[in-house]
Parts: sequence; structure tokens; C-alpha cells
Amino acid sequence: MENAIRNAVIKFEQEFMGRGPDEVRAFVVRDLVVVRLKGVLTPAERQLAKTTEGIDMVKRLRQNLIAQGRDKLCEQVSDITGAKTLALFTDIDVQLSERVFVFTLDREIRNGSQ
Amino acid sequence: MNRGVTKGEIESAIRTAIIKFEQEFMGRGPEDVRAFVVRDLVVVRLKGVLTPAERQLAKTAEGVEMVKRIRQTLIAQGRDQLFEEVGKIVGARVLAIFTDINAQIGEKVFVFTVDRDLESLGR
Repeated sequence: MENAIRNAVIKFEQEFMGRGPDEVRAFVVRDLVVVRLKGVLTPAERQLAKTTEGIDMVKRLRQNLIAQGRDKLCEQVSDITGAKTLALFTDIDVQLSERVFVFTLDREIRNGSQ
Repeated sequence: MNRGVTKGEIESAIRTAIIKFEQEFMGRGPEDVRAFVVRDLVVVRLKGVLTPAERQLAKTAEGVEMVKRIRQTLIAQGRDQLFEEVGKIVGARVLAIFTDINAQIGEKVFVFTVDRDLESLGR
């Protein structure tokens, strides 16, 4: 299951955000799905992130972008886990080029496949 | 060093520290807090984090955005304190803090990344 989530997030980042991350790990914990992505920024964004103003810009841009793809991502996680996704939390560390997704589900998942 | 400290003890201490942080720094204690240690991550889920005034504000799209912005700015001020406290509890260096708030449901999540696998502790 964690592997399926990992692949869905990689595909989402590639197709929707326009860049495949360098590394993705997914964890299922009770009623949460936690995904950690490394290397999510484009070279241009990394350049921009060298100033405080640029960091803020990249963060804002990414927040607005994810708002557009939110439903799609939640739907995919629901399909994989078989539970309803209640909310999606996400944050990006522009300096580290890392991003985290946390999906909250309507019930606990038994992670039997791993 | 945190030799002999169990995952449950870490989770409980994190939970207490976050409640204290929210009460003292953000000005309101959350209704429900749960903390989970997963490998090199500490995940904290908070429910009922908004004040009645913020809940009122969050009824419009513009208000949701405002609440989110102010919370982000506030948390930026308390960041160093959180880094230090969580680092002390888990006995590892905190590399980054990720946080997001859902103003509509009044929930908030923290994810701390640390410099080593915590699940091997005390096992």
C-alpha cells in the first residue's frame, strides 16, 4: 500500500506539478498517510529561493498549485487505501527542497501489504 | 541520549510539549492532540486549534486565507522553540518542521524530520 501511494504521488508530481521528485517515501500510521518528498523544486525555483522574498514566492506558488490538484490527489489516496480522505495537509521547505503531505482518513488502515 | 526511552514515551512527551506550546505561545490549547513516531519523522495531529473568532472568520474563502496566513506567520516566530523542544525529547537533531492548517475543520498537522531513525530506540 505504501508503495502504491508512493507511485501515485510521484506520478502526480510529474504530471501535474511538472517535475518528478528525487525521492519519495510514504508511511501509513493509523488513520494517517504521511508522504515525504525530496528534491521537489525546479532549478529555476531553487535559484529564486536564494532570497527571503523568493522563498515566500515559491511557497505561495506551490500552495496555489496544490489547491488545484487537491481533489485528484485525495481521490487517488482514497482508491488505494479504500478509506475516505478527510483532509490533506501539506507544507514545503523551500531551502531544503522538501515537501510533506499528510492525508487524514476516516478510519485506521491495516497496512497488510508490507 | 534517549537510550531506553520507548516510542510511546516519546509520543506522550511530544504531545505534552505541543499542547504547552499551543497554550502558551499560540494562546489556545487544542482540543485533541495525537503524536506518532515513524522512522525519522514525528507526526502530530491537532484538532480544535482555532479560536471562536477565527472559526467565524473561516466561514468565507477570504477568511480561510487570512487565518492561514496569520497562523503561518505566528508559527514562524515559535519555530526555533519547537525545534529545540522536539530535539530534546527525541534525542536527535530536528532538520525541518512542516506544518499546515485546515481552517474549515480547525485541524492542524506538524511533521518534524529528524536526523535519525527513532523507531530503533528502546527496542
